[in-house]
Order: sequence, then C-alpha cells, then structure tokens
Amino acid sequence: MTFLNFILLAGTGAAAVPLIIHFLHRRRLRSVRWGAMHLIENSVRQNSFRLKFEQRFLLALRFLLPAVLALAMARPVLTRNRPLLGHGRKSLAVLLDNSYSMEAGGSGNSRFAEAKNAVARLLQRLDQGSDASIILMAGGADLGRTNGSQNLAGLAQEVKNLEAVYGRADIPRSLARAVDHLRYAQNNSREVVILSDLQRGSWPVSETSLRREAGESIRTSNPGAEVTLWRTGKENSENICVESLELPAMVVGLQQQISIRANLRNFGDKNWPDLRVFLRVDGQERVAAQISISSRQVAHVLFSYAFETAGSHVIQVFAEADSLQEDNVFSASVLVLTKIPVLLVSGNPSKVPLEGETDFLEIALQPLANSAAVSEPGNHIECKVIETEQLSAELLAQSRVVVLANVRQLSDPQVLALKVFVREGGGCFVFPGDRINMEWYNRVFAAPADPFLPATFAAIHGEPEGTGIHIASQKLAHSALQVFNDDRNGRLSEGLFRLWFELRDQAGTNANVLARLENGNAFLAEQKYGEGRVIQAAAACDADWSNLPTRPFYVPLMQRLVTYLGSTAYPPRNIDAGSRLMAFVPASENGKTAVITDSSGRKFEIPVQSGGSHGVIQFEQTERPGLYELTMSSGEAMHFVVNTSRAESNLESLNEKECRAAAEELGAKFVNSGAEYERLDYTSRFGRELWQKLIWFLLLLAFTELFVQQRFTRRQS
Amino acid sequence: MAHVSDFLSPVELQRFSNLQVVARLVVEGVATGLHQSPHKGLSLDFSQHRAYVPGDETRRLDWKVFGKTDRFYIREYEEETNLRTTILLDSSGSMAYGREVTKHHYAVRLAASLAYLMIQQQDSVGIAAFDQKLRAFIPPRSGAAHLRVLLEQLANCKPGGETGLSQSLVDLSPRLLKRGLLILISDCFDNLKELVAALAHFRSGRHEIILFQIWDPDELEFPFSQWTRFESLEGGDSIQTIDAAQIRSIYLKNLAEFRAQLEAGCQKLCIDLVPVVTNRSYADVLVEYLAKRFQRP
Repeated sequence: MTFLNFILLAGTGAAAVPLIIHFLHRRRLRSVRWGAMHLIENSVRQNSFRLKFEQRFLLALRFLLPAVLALAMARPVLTRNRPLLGHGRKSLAVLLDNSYSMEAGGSGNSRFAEAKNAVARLLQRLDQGSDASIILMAGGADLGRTNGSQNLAGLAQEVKNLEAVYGRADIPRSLARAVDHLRYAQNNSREVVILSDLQRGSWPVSETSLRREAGESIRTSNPGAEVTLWRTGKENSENICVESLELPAMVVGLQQQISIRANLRNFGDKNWPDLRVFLRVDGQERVAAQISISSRQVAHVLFSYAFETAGSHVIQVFAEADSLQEDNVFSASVLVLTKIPVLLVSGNPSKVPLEGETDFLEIALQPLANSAAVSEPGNHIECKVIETEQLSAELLAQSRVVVLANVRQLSDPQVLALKVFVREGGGCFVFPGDRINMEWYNRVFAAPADPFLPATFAAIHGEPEGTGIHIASQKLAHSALQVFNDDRNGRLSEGLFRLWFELRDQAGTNANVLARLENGNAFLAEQKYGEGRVIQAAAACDADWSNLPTRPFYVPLMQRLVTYLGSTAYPPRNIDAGSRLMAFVPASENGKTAVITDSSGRKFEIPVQSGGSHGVIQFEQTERPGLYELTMSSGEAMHFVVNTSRAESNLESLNEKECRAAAEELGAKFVNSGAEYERLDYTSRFGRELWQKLIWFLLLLAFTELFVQQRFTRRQS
Repeated sequence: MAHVSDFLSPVELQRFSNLQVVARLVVEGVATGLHQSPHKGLSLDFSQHRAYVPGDETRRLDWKVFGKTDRFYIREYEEETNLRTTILLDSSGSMAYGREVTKHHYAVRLAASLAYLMIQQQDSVGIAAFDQKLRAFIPPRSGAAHLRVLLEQLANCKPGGETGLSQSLVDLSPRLLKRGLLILISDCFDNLKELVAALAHFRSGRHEIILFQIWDPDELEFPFSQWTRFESLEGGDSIQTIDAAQIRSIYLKNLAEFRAQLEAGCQKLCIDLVPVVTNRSYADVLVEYLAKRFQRP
C-alpha cells in the first residue's frame, strides 16, 4: 500500500485527542455532595459492566473518527506489492479472435465490430511511446511489427479493415505468438489482451493444459505481462449453416446431370419451417428450394444440375437464414470436361465383334458412341483402341486414362512412358488375361523398388467350365463404387468368375483393395503412383473369364472406375484452409507467370513450373477461406474453393463460470465490457484508492457514534 | 429568640391565617377550637333530630319541633375537640442538599408554617427532629409561648448524620400516647420497607400521617452530564466517580421505582404523600394541599 498525501497521515495523531479529552475530563471532575447516594449506587451496581463497555466503546469510536479521517485524507492506494505504472508507456499485444463466428450479430452490430471498437479504444488509451501488435487468432498476418508498432493510428486503421472470415481460433498458438511478440517488446510494462467471443468450440477442454502453459509463459516472462480476457458480443446461439456439399467425387462431363446434396444444420432453438435454399452456379441463381428445419436438427437439400459449358465452375448453395452470412453459403469448384480421353490397349484384338479384348469395355465406356453423335449428353468418355505396339508417349499425352487389357508385356520405352504418364497424374487400369507374361508383370510392374502395380500376380485359379466364384457381397467404401451399395444401382455380387488371378499384396506399396471375391481374394486393387493412380483387376475385362460384361452393372462400373482414374489426373479444387493449392496447366504455360487472386482480392504472381507433360502451379497462402481464382497468361481461369471447418457455426459460448475458469487457466483477469476493463486498467496503473471507502466508513462511524451516544445516555427532551 | 417572621414572610403569614387545618380523624380530648368530634353529647353544635324512644333523656326533647309537628324528637349534638399534631423533621445529612435552598432549610420553613397554623387555630403542636435517631422532641402544646419554643428548636436544627427515619419513628412511638396528626417532613432516603413498617405501626395506633417528601430539582432531573464525583452528604466512604450522562437513564428509572414503592406503601396505609420540590414556594404547596384536604368529605 502507498499514500498519495503521505504527510497527512500525521493526522492520525489526532486520534489521541479524544483520549486526551477523556483523561482531561476525568481529571477535571466536578464534585457534588449528594444526598440520594442510594439511587446512584444502585444505578452503578446494576450496570457496572455495561457502563464500562459503553464508555470504552464510545471512546474507541471517538478514537477511530480522527484516525480514519486522517487516513482518508492521506489517500491510501492498494498496490498489491507491485510498482504502479501510472501514465507510463506500455507494450500491448492484442489477441483478436477473427474466426467467422465473430460476425454473428450482423453488420455493424457483430461481435467482431465490438471487438474492433475495443481494439481502437485500447490503442487510444496507450501513452506516447507505447507500442502495440495485433495477433489474429484464427488466421491472417499479425498487424504491427514483431516487436510492436508505435504507429498506433496506422495500426488502428488496419484493424478497421479486418474481416472475420477464418475458421476456429487457435488459442494456444496465438498465446505462443504473443510470447514471441513480447520477447521483443520495447517497454517494461507489458499487457496481453485477448478479445474473443469465447465460443465453446475454440476453448475445448482438451487444450486446457496448453492454455495453462501458455498463460504461465506469459506471466513468467521477464518482465511478466498482465493478461486480460475480454469477452465481446452478446450471447446468441441462433444459427443455421450450410454444413457441407456432396458432389460427384469425379470430374463432371458436359451436360451430365449431377446431383448436388447440401447438408444444413440448425444450431439454435428456433424452428425454420420455410427456409429458402438456392443453388447458384458461377454467381447466378439457378435453382431454389424450400425446406423445413427444426431446432437443433439437420436437413438435406438435393439439387440436380447439368453444366452447359465445359471448364471451371463454382457452385454455391445459399440458405436465406440468419445474419451470420459466412456459413449461410457453401461453395465448391467443379471441373466440367467435354470428354475424358481414354486409351484402350488391346492385348488380343479381333475383327470379330465382341471377340476383341476391349470390345465389351469400349461399348461400356461409350454406350451411345455408335448410335449418336459424340457430343450427345451423357457421353463423356472418348475411347481410342490401339494395339500393344502402338502405345507411345505421344498417344499417352493425349489421354487421361490408359487401359491395358490382356497385354502380354511392354517394351522398355513403353514402360517408361507409361510410368511417366501415371506419375504425372494419369490413370492406368490393368486387366490381366490368358496372354499376360505374369513373370514380366511381377518383375517390371511389381518390382519392390518401384511398385507400379498395387499387387503381384500369383497363380490363376478356377476352371473355365467350373462353377466359379462371385464377387463378395460387401460394403463398398471407395468413392467410385459407393453407388453399388444400393442394389438398385446394380448388384456386384452377381459377378461370377470362372477364372481369376490371385492378387498378392506386396510390401512397400500403399495398395487399397476396392472389392473382393467370395474367397477373400482381391477383385480390384488400387494404389497411388506419383500424382496418378493404378487400378489392377484380378480377371479379364471381357467375357472369357467372367460374366461381368453381361451384367447390368458392368457399364456403370467401368464408367465410374475410368472416370475416377481420369478425375485423379487433376489436383483437387476444393481444399481445406491452410492446404497447398496445386494446379496443372498446359505445358505451354511453363516458365510463364500465373496470377492467383485470393478471397480478399489480393493478387499473387506465381511462376509456372514444368511438370513433364504439363505445367504445375503451387500456392501455399490459403489460410483465408473463400474463392480463389487462378488466371493463366492465356487468360484461362481456374477456380478453387478454400473451405474451413463448420465447427465455428456452433455459436454457443462459454457460460460465466466457464469464462472465469478459462481466465484462471491463463492467470488472466476477466472482463465483460469496456467499462470493466477501464476500471481494472485504472486500478492496475494507479492502484486502488481507498479514500472513498474510508469516507463512507467515517460517515458510518460518525453516525454510529451519534446513535450510540444518544442511546447510551437516553437524554429525554 | 426565634420568631415566626424568621421563617415566614408577612405575605405568607397572611395566606395561612385564612386556612383551617381539618383532620379527618377525631382525637380524644375536649378543648375549645374548631375541630369536631363524632361523639354526640352536651356540646354547643347541633348535629341532627331523632325520633324519641322511651328511655331517652327528656331534657333533650326539641319542643319547638313538637309544637310544629305534634311529634316528639330529641336533639343530638357534635362534640368538638382539639388536634394534637407532631411534626417530624428529618435532619439527616441528605437533607443538606440544595444549590440555592437546601432541602433542610425548606423543611424547616415548612414545619414552621405548619406549627404556626396549628397554634393559630389553638391546636397542639410538637416537634421531633431526627437523623439516625430521634435528636430532639418537644411534646405537643398550644399557645403562643409554645410556638416560640418550637421555632427556637427549628432554628437550632442542623442537618447531618445518616438517615434513620424508621428508627426515629420507633423511638418516637412511646412518646405519642394519644392519637393525633403526625406530619413527617423528610426526603425518605431510607430503607422503604422499614419505613413503611414503622408508619404502619403508627397507623395501627390510629394516628393520621401526612408525609411531605422533600425533593431537590436536581434529585428529580439529574442534570449532570459529565464526569462527576458524587460524595455522600451523610458521611462515610460512599463516593462514586462516574460519567453522569451515562447513568442518568438508569438513575431516573431507579428514582421512579423508589417513588412508586413509597407511594404504594403510603396508599396502602392511607397516608397522604405530598411530594414537594424545593423550587416551589412552600406557601403554595401548603395552600394547595390544605385546600384539597378542606374539600375532602
């Protein structure tokens, strides 16, 4: 404790005055020779204890009065054994929660608007010579230099332009960054202010120990910093979000009817019986729907759409719901191809219809090729059938997928070209047969040092006239085969194999079995090779070894597997925030510069690197969710969508008790408002003055003394 | 030699001379005076007519009434007697209290007034002064010469010593053989039980008692407000040094109880208790009291 008017503390000596007066009175007694002594003696005898107590109590009150007055005039200040900053300079680190939940409340009235106002006020309160930095907790570059900016006005202006669009706030990491900032702070007095809506999702119990450690770090740094946890925004848990979109996992063909399933979730207590949901394509509203979604329930909307033009498109599903706009829309980028060029390499060609190795496959992949124009809607695979010897790098360069159907073996240049093709993103489907050189395949394509195939070919099983075995009835997890979990799309278990290769797993591969036969052997296996994929079948693709081509599911099965292989030739266009954005561009762009415009409108010039048969663009700065556009030198544009977790859409905040517990974890003070913060800040800077409380106490003492005096003497008017 | 003018001013003397002291009880004895006895006999004052019955004295027949009514009635008369009064004066130390006028001074004046009144109406008056015990006693007599003796005794009375009212009454008892009026002038600062018992003894002897309780205003109001050292006027080691303001309420409460007890005791014994405060003229007190008594049936 300290005193602002220390000299006035000497006034406490005045407390002796009542005592002196008391003794003086006792010395200067009045003597009375009295007759009714018996009345006085009775009075004294009956109440001697009470009389003594009253005398001493009154004396104590009179002693306290001047003492408390002197103490109040000396203006004592509680300092909690810390030096008081007063109007000194300070280094301030503000941790600002810019997750998208902070936009709840609507424009101008949102939690983020309140937080930004709070930051502005904090910066305004700093004295000249102070420095500040703003650490964005959910993403984005920190404002202010690492060791703080003294251009407080400039910092305030930057804060004004901030938007809350990011995913979950990372509290422990933000605190660690605060520690780093403070390490280079310029002033001895330091403070960390955390401005957040304290959304439950950002403060999980699992991170308690991390938060505690970070808080400890801040407090024990030399010199230590004071931490304040400031909750902004009003409690509001009403929110509807478009949680996810389910799209065909593969590339979409021109005029191909696709189903887009939107999943919506209602986090609040309000029912929405007439919620309007829209499908926008490339910014244009195309389809509208109306759904009902009850409190704390999920709902689904199915849109059907066929793209009229090829190229990169952006679809958005928008729900006309609450004021938190960020999660009312979910975007996805879709690549629409005119055709997927597929090269069918027939190891056993024939001029007799359906006798060639790839005849059934060709029909399945191009069911309408013979009856209609290639551009007929729904016909998005374009096949070219060649013989083994014709396989070349040039033909591969014109294709997306190559199918080896009962090919005995390839030449070394062909092997090299094929591997390069797949490595650079192409797809390869290998069907065995009676003509393959099993030893060659195992030695060249299944070499442990460079496993091209997911498995080795072991022995042939079955009998040509035997009963055979079926494809096992199983739950299919692969994106290309999931549709067959619904029997209405075809029963794979009807597939019967009279002859089949045993596919044996090999070490060093990341093979994945797509489907199995009844005896447990793999029917289809897949692995990633470079940027592309290889699918290996256990039997031929014609009707020699199985009844597959005669089954209804054969056409969609082959189309889906080939389309899948063709899709993986393209890097994903819908990525998570913080993931690498990768694009394949024509080889003609190699060495040139492409421009990426991020969701905030910032432009980045990125050089196109050579990737063999195509150019490669890579971009890392995808922290900010939203739509990114890549524009090549040719003017052609590609769209990418960066999404973030929808966990932020659950707006429920920590309750008061939990907030205080969170503050305690950090060793921080907890405030709910600017006024509360200013009060605490004032106390921290100037200590807590007690004079007001002492004056009230003095008044209480004075009234008590008056009351007690009257009561004890009971003077009668 | 003491004279009544030493005790009473001419104005006061004038006021007293018009009053009569009327005792409710009739004492024995025959003397001239104005006090009447219920004994009906040969006396100058007619009381009432009563129908003649065989055996009544014929000399008491009222012939005037016979002439008017043709019926025989005899006359009954009231016998008058003189009043024997003894004034008891408390001369203990406690009576010495008083800032302008001491209680004793006041009591002496009151006693002188009463003696004068009695003597004026040819009643017998005696004086007894006491503190712890009876100090002086002058038996009741009438006459101006006796008044001078009484006044002399009053003039020589000085307060001092402890209060022994009860013992003094006990000492006095054998000296008052005949019934009479006992006027007690005291502050009654004694054991109330013993006092009431002593008074009851006199009442059982059919004496009438008037008790003038003398108070100083300070004793009733207790106006002290600071640390005060109270020393007993009756000697001894009784000293109390107290913050007077602090005990005032308790003192007043005890005072009220004391007065209530005395009043209850007097009421039970049919004793007139007349509280008198020394800041009031004793002439006014007497006038008021006597007027009240005169009006009483």
